[in-house]
Amino acid sequence: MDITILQLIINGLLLGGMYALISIGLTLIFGVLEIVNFAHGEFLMLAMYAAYWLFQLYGIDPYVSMLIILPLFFLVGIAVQRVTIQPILNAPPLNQIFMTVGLSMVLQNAALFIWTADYRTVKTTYSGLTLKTAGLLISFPRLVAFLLAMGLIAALLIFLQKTYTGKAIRALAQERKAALLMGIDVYRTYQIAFGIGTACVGAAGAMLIPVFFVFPSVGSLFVLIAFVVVVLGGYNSLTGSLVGGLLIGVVEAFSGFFISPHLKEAIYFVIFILILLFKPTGLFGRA
Amino acid sequence: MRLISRNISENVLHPRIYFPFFLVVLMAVLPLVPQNPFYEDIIVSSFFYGAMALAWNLVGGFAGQISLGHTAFFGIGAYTSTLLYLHYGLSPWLGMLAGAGLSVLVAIGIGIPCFRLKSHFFALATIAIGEVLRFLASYWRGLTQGGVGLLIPFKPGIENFMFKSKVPYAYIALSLMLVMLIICYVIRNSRFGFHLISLREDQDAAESLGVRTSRSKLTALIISALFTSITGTFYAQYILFIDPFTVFSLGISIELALFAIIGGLGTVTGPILGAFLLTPLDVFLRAWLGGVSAGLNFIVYGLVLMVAVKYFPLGISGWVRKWYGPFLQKLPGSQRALKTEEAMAPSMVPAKALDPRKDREKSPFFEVGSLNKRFGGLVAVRDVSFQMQKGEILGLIGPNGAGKTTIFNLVTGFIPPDSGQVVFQGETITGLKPPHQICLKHIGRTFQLVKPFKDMTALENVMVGSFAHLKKTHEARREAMEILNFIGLAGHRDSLSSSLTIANRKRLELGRALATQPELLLLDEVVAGLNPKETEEIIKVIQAISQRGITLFMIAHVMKAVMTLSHRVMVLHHGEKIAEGTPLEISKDRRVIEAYLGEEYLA
Amino acid sequence: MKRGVIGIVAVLLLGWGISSVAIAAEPYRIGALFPFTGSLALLGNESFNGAVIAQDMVNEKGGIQGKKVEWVKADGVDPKKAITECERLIAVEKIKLVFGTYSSSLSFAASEIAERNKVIYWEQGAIADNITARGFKYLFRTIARAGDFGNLAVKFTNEVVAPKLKMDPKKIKVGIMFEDSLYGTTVGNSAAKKAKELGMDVVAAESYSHKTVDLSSVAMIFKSKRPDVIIATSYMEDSILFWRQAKEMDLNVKAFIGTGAGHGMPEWAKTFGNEANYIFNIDPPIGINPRVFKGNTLEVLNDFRERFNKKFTHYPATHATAGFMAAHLLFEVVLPKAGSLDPEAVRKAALAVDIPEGGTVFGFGVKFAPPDNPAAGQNLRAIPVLMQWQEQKPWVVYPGTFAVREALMPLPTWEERAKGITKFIK
Repeated sequence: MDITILQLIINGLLLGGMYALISIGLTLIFGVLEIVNFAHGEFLMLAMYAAYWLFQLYGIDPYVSMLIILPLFFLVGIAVQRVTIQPILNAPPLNQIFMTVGLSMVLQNAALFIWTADYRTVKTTYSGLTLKTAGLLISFPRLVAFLLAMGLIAALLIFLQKTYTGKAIRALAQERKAALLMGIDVYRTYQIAFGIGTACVGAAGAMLIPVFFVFPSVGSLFVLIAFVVVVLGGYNSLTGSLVGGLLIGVVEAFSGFFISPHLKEAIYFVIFILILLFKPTGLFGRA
Repeated sequence: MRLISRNISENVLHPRIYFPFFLVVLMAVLPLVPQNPFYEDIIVSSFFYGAMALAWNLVGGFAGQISLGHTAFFGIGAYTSTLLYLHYGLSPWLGMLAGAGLSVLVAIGIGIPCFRLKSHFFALATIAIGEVLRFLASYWRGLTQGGVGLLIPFKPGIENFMFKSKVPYAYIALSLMLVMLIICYVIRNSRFGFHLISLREDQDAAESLGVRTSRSKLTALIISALFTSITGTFYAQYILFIDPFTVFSLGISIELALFAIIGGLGTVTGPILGAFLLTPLDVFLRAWLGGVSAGLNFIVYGLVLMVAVKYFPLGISGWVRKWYGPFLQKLPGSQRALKTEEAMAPSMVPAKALDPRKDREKSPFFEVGSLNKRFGGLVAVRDVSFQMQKGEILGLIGPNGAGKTTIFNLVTGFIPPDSGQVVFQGETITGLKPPHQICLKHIGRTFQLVKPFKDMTALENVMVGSFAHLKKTHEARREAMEILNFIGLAGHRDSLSSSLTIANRKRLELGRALATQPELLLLDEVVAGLNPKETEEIIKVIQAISQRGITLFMIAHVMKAVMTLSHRVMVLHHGEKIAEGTPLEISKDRRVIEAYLGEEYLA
Repeated sequence: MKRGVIGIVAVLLLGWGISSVAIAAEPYRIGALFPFTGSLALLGNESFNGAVIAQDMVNEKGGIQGKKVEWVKADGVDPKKAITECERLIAVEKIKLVFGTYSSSLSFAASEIAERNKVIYWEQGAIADNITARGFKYLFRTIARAGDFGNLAVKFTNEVVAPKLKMDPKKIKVGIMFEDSLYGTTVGNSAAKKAKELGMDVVAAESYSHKTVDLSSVAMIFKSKRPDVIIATSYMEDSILFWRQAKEMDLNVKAFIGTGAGHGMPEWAKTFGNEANYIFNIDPPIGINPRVFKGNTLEVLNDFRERFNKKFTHYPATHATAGFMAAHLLFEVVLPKAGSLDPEAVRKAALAVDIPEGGTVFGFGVKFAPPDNPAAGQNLRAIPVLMQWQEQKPWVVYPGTFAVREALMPLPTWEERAKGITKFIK
């Protein structure tokens, strides 16, 4: 029984690492701009397609194509922010939600139109690679995703602490008016934050394609999970989204095994609701 | 949105009255026109979505609570009536009521905890609830047959809520929609409706005017859930097949909000306009573009949504409103006078003219003892004590950050004090919350940064205050008119409060608070930001208020106002009371001069 | 002068004769209700394309008794839309025969409409049992049911797997997994039921949401319960996801039986290469032993396959063949017998069909259950077959008459696979 428990923990952590990776970008965007970005899943989908095509057409390994995708999606994020988000920053929350819902519909169906509904995945040498230690099995691509999540968060934290732009972002997240008065170029900072958030999702997509498959509606599978992680972790805490992701992964692994694979997602939705009710700032968030 | 005279029969020849009736008759005839099930279905769907969107709008539009989980009620309605029918032979009409009852219970279960959440979080919580229900319906195969779904055998008959033709369905859906429409219209013009809109616009201001925000939101949700559940039963009886993925679908929740937004959020007819436009549009887009290539019609749909959100925030209804009035003018009968409430001259209620100094009682009217409040490491209010006599005007001054507004918040239920007592007319009200309780004790307040209900006219804003002690709309309107006269805003009666100048907004806020019939009124920086002339005028108003016998506690920066108005002045510095006395005494007080000397001091 | 008049009259008579023949050659308009767009579009279109070949074939011959076949397409993305589209076909397009629908929930919902309007519903590919459990008179399904799929999996385990592995059929441990929609639930339930009936030890019957992103829980449950045989009902994405995670979790069983959908598609081999091998899958009979076919059926099948490849640039798999078989039966046998699209005539003609085994491209026969039968409208001779992936292709291995190869068991463990070792029992 022991080894099963350990294996479940490992499975949970690896799954959670994937979840955390997907959610980092959202934490940044949600925390700074306070926008519920329903199109977040679609950015993930686009990143996965990008990694897929780079592999299919040019043979570039997804871990390598990440270097292309990161700056590309940074620019995409800025563009999207300018065109769709900026104009509605001060609109009522409902309008903000629906702007991104509309964006999500457009992106999903554009992908359907261009690439059809076929499922695509990338098969690399390490796709099915599993590491075995002490009777425990660790999926290599998932381990990489896990490590990348940690690395990305560490890099982001350093960026936010040490650089001017990073500090500007943090200031903005805490108090918009004061930041404005301090001379911070609010709109430019929003764009950068959105750009970075989107770049993170881009990296997540590249990580995901060897492990999962891409099809036009894959984003909708992940977007709700991402929100659960962000809220659980504390919507303005990066460490929170890491811990939140890992926690959700472990909860899912355990409830899938002990309760039912059918209800495992429902379980973390219930946890989500409970967190919203009893500790809306999440595990690590500040009020 | 003025309620036309209650005597509709008196006004029936005016287009404002007969035109809507004409539209209803048109809709009633519509189902009989096509003689073709395909088009009849579009009509049924339009009515049915119209009803659902109206129900959603009560919570999402009027109350401003963005629910994206309404599919929960829809699914509960569909499954309850279907299971009761299939297992126990219970007529779906009764099953519909059972489903509605269950939905109401679920609504209460969701509402009470979730309404505390801020808008984005509330939306996410409701999404999660819808998803959880779907998982349960899919997993609990013993009860629901899971993913296999439930098929209702076709046995037409009114007792089975099943019909061969689509026409009866259309009429049922139409009736549902009209009932919902009437309910929304009545609510919109009632005290409850005013409460909902006020809490949507500014929850704090609403609370300070005696609006029980939590109870109001919950009531709206209950009504909304009830009707959404009924539409769920209707759907089951219309399609005769349900499964977890179609009735517990996030897509449905989003669609409802979509209709309301595109139609006009928070308006009465908006959701219907949205449903009537989008339902047929979806069918035709799909037929036209869907065949050409996968997904093209959804791209169009998504773009329409994005454009509507950005450029038409008022929705179709905003656009319709513009030409509706002029259109009605062109119709016969528009020259007739409309008998409205305004035509009935309001009886003048004399103001209570009392000499405040004569009516002073011996025991303190309002007493605050040893009030303390800390925010983390910062001590905002330290051991503050003072008393007020009935009818007096106490001024509260002090440098920025002295803690003045904090004191207001501490005694009006917005922030709980760490320690101390607050006693009003002999009753201890320390830490009483939520703020509406304070209002019900006849303590009113204004806010430093004015909080007008932007989507309401000046008259409507004041009416919210009147509703604190009046139940009927026409009574509230009458009183509000008077108050507008009293504070000098009668000319702006029908202007949206968002279009008023700062000075007028401050007056409005005064008037609004006054309407709640307070005995003690707390004014926070009512004079700040006004030019000398405006300052003069508002000082006169405040004096008039005092002459009505209302005790005033005023925070002010502007020395002219403080000196002219206050009987006594209290000075706060770094959260502590450093001086108290008549204005003259204070102006000479060494400590006060040291701490600060106001901006424009005019001897 | 007289000659001229006769000439003109002759020309007029000829013209009138030609034009009346032309008028008589009005097409046979048949509704095609499929998910042409949306998440089911891939196989919806495949199914329809198979029928298109049948249309080509019959139209080349001048049509059915001179009338060419014409499709009137309707896109049924979800059950509600399927219903409205079906109504449009019947009410607006005046269709008397609806051909469809691939997906069980769409079929279930839309066929109700057809029955109410006394319009023929010709189901070619949806397998949920309850579609033909309603006593409908105008519904006909050509293909086998989900229950048959589930039963076959269990029967195979009982009659072939257990003996071959020298295990007592009553002691063999069975693990069942199925996705939560109509398809998965019906097959999974029927397999569990049959297994219990035969006294097998069902150690786990796990359902899961087909939208899940992780199936490691299911793999872990199987690892702890150690079934000898797993019977799985999955769509493509979850079948691939599970197999990947089975490898990651080092889950080993002696036999793995898929039941259609995911486990039968070319993507299975494309994604897994050699790791796809030795999995069993149950599907309608394609790639069966040619000896089964009677008459010219084999030629028809080959003709179909070549034409399909020419038109759609890939050879037809299960769904396309199902579409073809149903359409072919309709165009070549039923409609000629009926003489028109009149639903009563078509009904009678359909019920009169009696094709023995070997008479359709699927190798099974056709005999529709009459209205008083509990499975009214079902082709009682339709059966699925069991195949095994070998050399990255599916080969029919059971039942014996249809088999082209021997079933190889047990399934190699992941370790053995990595080393290229197989230890099949002879």
